[in-house]
Amino acid sequence: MKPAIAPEEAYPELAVYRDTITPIEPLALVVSEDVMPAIEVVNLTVRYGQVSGCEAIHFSALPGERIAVIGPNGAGKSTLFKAMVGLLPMYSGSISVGGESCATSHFRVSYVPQHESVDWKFPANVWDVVMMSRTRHIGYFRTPRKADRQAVRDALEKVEMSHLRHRQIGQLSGGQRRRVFIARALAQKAAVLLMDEPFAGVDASAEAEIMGVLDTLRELKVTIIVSTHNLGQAAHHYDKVLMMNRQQIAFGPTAEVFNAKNLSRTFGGFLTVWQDQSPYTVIADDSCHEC
Amino acid sequence: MINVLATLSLWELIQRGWDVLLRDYHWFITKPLEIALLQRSLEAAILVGVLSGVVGSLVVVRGMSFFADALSHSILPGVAIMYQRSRAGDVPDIPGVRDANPLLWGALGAGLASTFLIGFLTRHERLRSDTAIGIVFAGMFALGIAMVSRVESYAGDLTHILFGQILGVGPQDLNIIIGFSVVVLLIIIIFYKEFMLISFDPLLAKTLRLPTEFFRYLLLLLIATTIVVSLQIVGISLMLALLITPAATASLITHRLHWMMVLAALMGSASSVIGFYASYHLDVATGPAIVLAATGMFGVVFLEQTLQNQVRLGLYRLRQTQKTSPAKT
Repeated sequence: MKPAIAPEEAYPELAVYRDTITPIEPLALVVSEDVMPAIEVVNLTVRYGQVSGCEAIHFSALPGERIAVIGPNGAGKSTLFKAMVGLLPMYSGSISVGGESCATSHFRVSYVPQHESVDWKFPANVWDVVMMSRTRHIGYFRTPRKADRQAVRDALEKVEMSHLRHRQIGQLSGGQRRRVFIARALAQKAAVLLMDEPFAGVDASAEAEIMGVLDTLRELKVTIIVSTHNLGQAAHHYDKVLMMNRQQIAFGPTAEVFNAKNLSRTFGGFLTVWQDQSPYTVIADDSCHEC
Repeated sequence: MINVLATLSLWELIQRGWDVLLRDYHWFITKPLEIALLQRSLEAAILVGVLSGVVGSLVVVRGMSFFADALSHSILPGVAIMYQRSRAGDVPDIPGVRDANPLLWGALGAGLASTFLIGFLTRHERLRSDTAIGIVFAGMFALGIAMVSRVESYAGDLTHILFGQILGVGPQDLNIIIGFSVVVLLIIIIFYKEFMLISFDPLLAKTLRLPTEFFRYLLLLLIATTIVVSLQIVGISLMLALLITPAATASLITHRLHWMMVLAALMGSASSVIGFYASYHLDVATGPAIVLAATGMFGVVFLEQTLQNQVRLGLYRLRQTQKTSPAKT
């Protein structure tokens, strides 16, 4: 796929980063130290009353990086994401997006919720759903203008959904539905995209389809943070991994962090890990069949 | 009138109506309108059809039909209070209230009170929303019936409240209906994209920092107003049908919200017209006639779509078998 216009034109705000980043090869991100992180989470703690959702999460992501968040069910992955888009109040810590405090820049972070939380029978087509993310850009008492329509058109083109723009959302396949939500984040001109379990319940071809779109986003310097259960995928398709189980277990480049010690600390006794001289790490898990 | 309905089968009803239509157009269509009261009723019914079609679309896509039903029932105590006071000649001396139908304002007050009560109970998810709605609904309805039962010979009046009394639409009432309809429709047009967003994806609305709570309450308010305004036409117990049925029919036909609203408004007003004439000529109560017309439309569309799907499926299977078994030469 060929983008119709250069990323810098579509995302003028990203042009700031253009000079500071050396051109990268896919999956080998070489960035100078003084680049502003796209999102920086400092010591974030979220609590539901007395119960802690996630404790002391501390990481940052550069523009264009792709980060996997892994942890068992109930580890606080969704809680972390909801706090990062401002749906949950922070108990302590701070989040900044592109160097700005999250109070002013929240809409630069886009959140794709878990698949089941959306009513797919809703009377809206693909175009309507993507246009929804422009609500704030359009403003009150106004109808979409040329710039808004152009943003939606570009976003749909980048995820290769233009030909399906008149389709009702319920009539899309699993992979297409996720692509619509990615397009929505693009139309919103978000710099950071948080995806909660995007690969749950999709088949292998749809997974490859979504991964292809995520590669396109890397070229646009959109930071992608994905929570996933699929450890095999996390080991191969992401630049960095954040392992958490309420607390942060480890954060760093996949090759460094993805080891037996961290994995068994994250998943507790549920997971057995063998790691020897061979390049393979063997993970046995009797509760999770996808691994 | 119940007897008439019971003795006539549906087919006879249709035949009779068709004969009448063919025999005398003037007698059928224009004669009822020569009476000012009937003309006013028809205008009111059409307006209410449009209004409840548009608002009902939002109710249907948000899955709020239980809330709408509950709200129409919890209006009763407000109506009962104003009814008692107007009988005693003790209507509050507020210009709008004094001149117009005091029951309407009582209904509006009770509707708003229940709306905010339900909204308050479901805040912070302390109660499931259907539980909270059920509690408020049953409590308010019981309160209303208790109040009405204290008035002697209440049965007839209660019937009017429960089943509507379209012929009681006075000139003032019509003005009120017009006023409220215009305001509600304008608000929905102005905030259309915001309503659509909070209905489809409240999470996105929150991340975009839209005042979601404000829009939620605004929508509840619009629904309450619509119900109160429509009350005179179909009454408390059939109000739900006016909101849900045309919108549901429209949702079968289109898959975009604004077209659903337009279609539902058309269908709502069409069923008002059909119901009005049916009620005049067949001597059936107007409220039920309107609701039956709407239900009939839903049935027709649903059947038509089911048939269409069956035909499509049949054709598809036929083609598949033709593909798999090569034609004999």
